[in-house]
Amino acid sequence: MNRIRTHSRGRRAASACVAAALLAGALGAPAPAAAAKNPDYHSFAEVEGALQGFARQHPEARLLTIGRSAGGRNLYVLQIAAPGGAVPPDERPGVFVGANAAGYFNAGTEAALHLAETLLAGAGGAEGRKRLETTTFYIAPALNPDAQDGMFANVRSRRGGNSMVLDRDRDGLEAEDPADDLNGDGRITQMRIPDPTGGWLADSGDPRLMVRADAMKQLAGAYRLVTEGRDDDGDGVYNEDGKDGVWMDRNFPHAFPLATPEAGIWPSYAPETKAVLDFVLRRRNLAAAVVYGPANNLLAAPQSLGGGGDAGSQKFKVPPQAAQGLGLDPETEYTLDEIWEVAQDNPFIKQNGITKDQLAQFLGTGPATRVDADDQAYLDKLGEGYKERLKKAGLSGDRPGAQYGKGGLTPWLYYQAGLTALELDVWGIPKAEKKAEAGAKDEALTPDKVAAMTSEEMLAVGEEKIAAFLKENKVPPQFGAKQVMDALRGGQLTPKAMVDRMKQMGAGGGSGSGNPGGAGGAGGAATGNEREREVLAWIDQNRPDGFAAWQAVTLPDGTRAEVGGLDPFVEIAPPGAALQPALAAHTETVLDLAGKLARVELVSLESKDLGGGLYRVRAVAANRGYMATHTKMDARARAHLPVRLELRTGDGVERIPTGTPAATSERLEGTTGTLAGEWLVRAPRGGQVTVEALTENAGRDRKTVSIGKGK
Amino acid sequence: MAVTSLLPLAPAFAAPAPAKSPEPLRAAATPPQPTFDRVHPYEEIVSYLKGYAAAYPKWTRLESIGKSGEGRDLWMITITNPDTGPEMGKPAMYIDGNTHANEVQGTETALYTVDFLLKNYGKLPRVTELLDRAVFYVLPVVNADGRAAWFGKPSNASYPRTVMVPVDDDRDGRVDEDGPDDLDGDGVLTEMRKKVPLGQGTHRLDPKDPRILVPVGPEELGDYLSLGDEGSDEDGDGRVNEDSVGYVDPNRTYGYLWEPEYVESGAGPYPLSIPESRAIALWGIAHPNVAALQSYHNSGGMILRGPGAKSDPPYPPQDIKVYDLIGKEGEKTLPDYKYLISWKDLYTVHGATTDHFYGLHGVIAFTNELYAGALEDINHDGTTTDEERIRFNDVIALGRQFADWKPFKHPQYGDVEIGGYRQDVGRVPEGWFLQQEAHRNNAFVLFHAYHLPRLSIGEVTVKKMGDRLWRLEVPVLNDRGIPSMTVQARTNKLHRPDIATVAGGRVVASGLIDDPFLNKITMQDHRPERLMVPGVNGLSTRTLLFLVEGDGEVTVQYDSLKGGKLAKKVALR
Repeated sequence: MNRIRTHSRGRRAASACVAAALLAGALGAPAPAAAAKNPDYHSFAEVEGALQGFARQHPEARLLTIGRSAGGRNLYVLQIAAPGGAVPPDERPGVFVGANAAGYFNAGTEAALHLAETLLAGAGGAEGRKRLETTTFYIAPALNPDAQDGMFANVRSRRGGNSMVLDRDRDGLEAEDPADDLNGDGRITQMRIPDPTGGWLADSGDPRLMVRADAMKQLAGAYRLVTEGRDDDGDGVYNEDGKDGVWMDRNFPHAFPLATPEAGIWPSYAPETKAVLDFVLRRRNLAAAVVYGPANNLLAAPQSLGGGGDAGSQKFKVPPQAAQGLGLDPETEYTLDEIWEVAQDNPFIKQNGITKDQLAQFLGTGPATRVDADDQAYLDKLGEGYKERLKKAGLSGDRPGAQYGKGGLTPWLYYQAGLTALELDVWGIPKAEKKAEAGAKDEALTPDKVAAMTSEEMLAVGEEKIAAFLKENKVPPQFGAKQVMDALRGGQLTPKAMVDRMKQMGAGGGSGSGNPGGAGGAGGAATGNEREREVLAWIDQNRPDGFAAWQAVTLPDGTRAEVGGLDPFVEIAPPGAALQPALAAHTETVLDLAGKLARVELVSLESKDLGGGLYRVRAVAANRGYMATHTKMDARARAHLPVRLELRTGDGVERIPTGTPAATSERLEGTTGTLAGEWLVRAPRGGQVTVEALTENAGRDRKTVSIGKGK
Repeated sequence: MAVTSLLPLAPAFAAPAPAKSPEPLRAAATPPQPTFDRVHPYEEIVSYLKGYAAAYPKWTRLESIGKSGEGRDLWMITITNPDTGPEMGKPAMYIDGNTHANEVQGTETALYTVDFLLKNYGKLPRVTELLDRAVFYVLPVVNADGRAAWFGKPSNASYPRTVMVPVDDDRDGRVDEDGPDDLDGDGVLTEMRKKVPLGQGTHRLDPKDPRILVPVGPEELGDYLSLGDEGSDEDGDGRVNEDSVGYVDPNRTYGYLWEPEYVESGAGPYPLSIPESRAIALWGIAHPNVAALQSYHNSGGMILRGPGAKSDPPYPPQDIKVYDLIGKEGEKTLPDYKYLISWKDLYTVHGATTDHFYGLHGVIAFTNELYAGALEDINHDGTTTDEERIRFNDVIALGRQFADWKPFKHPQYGDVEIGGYRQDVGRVPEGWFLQQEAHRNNAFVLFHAYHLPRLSIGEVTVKKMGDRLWRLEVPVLNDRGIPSMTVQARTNKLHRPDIATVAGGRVVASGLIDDPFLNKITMQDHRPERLMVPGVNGLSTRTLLFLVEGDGEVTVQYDSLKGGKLAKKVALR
């Protein structure tokens, strides 16, 4: 029995259904469809059908079931690789593409399917075939199937959790206070309840938007802002214990949010999470991962998720006994490097083969919490190409990118699995175009762009644009465009020096990468509201149904409230026509990444006659790929085996034991990285030795040389 | 498992009525008579457990809570009086042993408690009380595969420690290919030493006893090398024993503040990646009645509590008081044992059993490191020298412990000697002391269990407030040390609070009385009929307030996950 009464413009109806129907007529909005079918997006059943179709039709496609969701749905991974060949698919460098771990991020599913389709359609061509012979793609379009269909439900809402049942509010009752569609518009939006203690008020500029109360801005609260729905369990909190289970995208082990019911009781508790962990960890050939989810770490550099400490910057007191043994002062704080400097010469450390990592562990340094600078440099480069691609596809490349969250799939892939990991949000509401001064509309200069220019390029931009740039960045008027151009011509100034100087003066603030918080987030602060206005303006222009006008409702206890706000999917799931170019640009991005993976090859193998039947064999392996063989994080976490050069001796050939039999490297830089190995062998002239270059995820190579012949 | 129910009067609320003068348990079959002066292989332990289950079918439940990596059952025995209320309505203690493969006697120590409880009910009042009001869950062998390996394959006091999961320790692409070996085939894994020309060694023989190797002092030259555990370079990489079986440490893989392998050695690829500890963790979720935990390890004579790492959140002082109450008593119960904090007094540990159960479930949890090693310290000065150790072997153990050095032709080192202490020495005491250890640790565990929360509803004060409106003051007493909800659980919302309800009347308002004299009351603004009580602290009273509309009689009900379920009839007059 639905006890909600909805009223609008003085009309009242006995039940929400009737009210909704009346409302729909009155407001001219479409009536809520039953199980709204959206032809632009795949439901889980349709994803399943599409994957099975791929596997049936293409010899390159193999459908793997890597586990089951809490609700008993299959967790699928489509393996795409050319069949046959000398190297089996699970040993070719691999790319994992995982979509919609978030659950409500259906655009990601579309991007993953688009990639699979593109790869399979191109498999016949020379380029496509070669790609599938050298790289294996593992594509999971629907990692969180229990949540996948939230956008197709009778009442559409963002669902993140699986089918486990939780007692989120710890009141001994399970899933007893879900959100409710009070106004019958077929979606869960927000609800504002007049309440002077509520901490929110309507924005004076656009009363559809809500802003936080703020003492410094003299804004007093007038509303409580909650999700649309009744307080079903009467505990004074609205919609705090819904039907949603554990969110797999909060259940991974890096920066896991403890004591957060929807994140799961411990990392890997959700069957979906465990299945992905097992799958990724067993595919030793994986080198990179692309997660299609709500964050974007190519549009905004990833921030630390906190926790732990970075060994490099922390300082430690050495416990007294150890300090005495090492000859350090127990009262002084040292960095790990400083301690290691002393420790590595210590007989006890040497004799027991104690590594720097083990020492760090003894000191309690904790895990990495920031993306390593060298790894970020690769991300930055990938980001440049990515933004170019977005621009070419007519999409916004400077809109804000959201950060991935604690316990997320992407941070785990990087921080613990050691992979190059991208999270891409496929599509977003573009940044509003600044109403720039006449003539400067296209291509406004930014400090970053200027810093990258030569003096000649800068001069070619012209006085008008330079003047606009200086004004935009609040450079004092005594540095006019003319003076700057003279200095550039005369060589007294370079564009980069100018930008550096601007930064020192505190100018140059106009180029920020934008507000990281999504529009729907309760980010507070004026910038958040600015983005919301931008979003709302776009919605008004492009998706008028994307904002539900505030509409009065009366709750069962007589409380009067209003229901309204952003459609749950308007910011993340555009109509098909708008989505298509984004899908193509993202597929291109994945293919580009696959082409940039590290590839280790043996570039030389030779032997030198030392006399007396002894020969020195020397081999050099090089990374011919763009990316490094290991991320810096991988090397720190020891997530993959090192690059190894191993010698195999032929008949009559004997290795003279010196050092270790294999040359190893924890990381070969992209393009420039090399590893040399040298061995002494006793051999008959013409005897053969083979050297193998071995990696887990950057290919392998082998060469054989006849002793005494060189190569 | 649905522990809670909206139904106001589940049968669980029926007040337990313990028999007036309980009789000792009558066995349905001859109960097992284990010998506690030796350690037993896995199969023997399993047959004992089956024996108890057959002898006391009504009082025990034997179940496998999961399978080990190699497919062995993880047998757990549950013990409680079935006539005093259902299992989930009683506070419980969980006990396990032998998490590390080599730390074997935790199993016998846990088994001792099983034996002691079943054979002393009706004889010893403290045992009778415990089985009437509490539940014991005992998992004597956590690392079943590890135990089988320790008993069945060459091993020593410290090896193997892991669960049986292959890991490429030396990162050469080959797995578990170079572990220690019983080179001389004498059935024990001992040590190797080698005589070298004077000046090339790091050690010399003790002139008083050539069985002992001593490191050279300043201004001395050595003529011996100490080569470590018996073994050879099997993979030809110039290193010996560097890729042994495992390593995933079942006491570093638990889910609370787990850290990856590069931070915590033995953590495994992700939390609870191994079936043994995952089975225990999942079992723990289904048993919110557990309020006390003991996980037996060896050695060193320690009663350990967390935090495991300095970076972990500190324990709330209220909970520390509870730990202190039990831990300090332990120092008296267990001679030579010290009550210690893991990270501060021992070493940093992430992902331990005790941290998991306290951190995620609010359970008061200890790890006892069995055997303080005090026997061999013949002069009781707190350190055991090599001379004392060998003298203990010769005179007191009559030579059982030490396998004398014998020459051996080593594939890499050439002429060496192999010999040293036998498998159990140093971590497992001689049999005649093992039984005393088992009893004293059992006594400590039963003291711990004695302090499981024991709740009772005291005299209810009823005042008439108006027509059919009554004010009820309900004191709930916990006369034992462990709270029905730890502060750790309360502040982190780890589980639901205790819930108080009134059947037979309409609750108009409710709250907690903080000070009955000054009328300091914290009212619950919403849903007064379901009063959320943040537990009753140890050795104290929590007073509840209900304003009830009704006549005649109502029943006050109190439902605590870890403190049991109570009900009391109250006349409204």
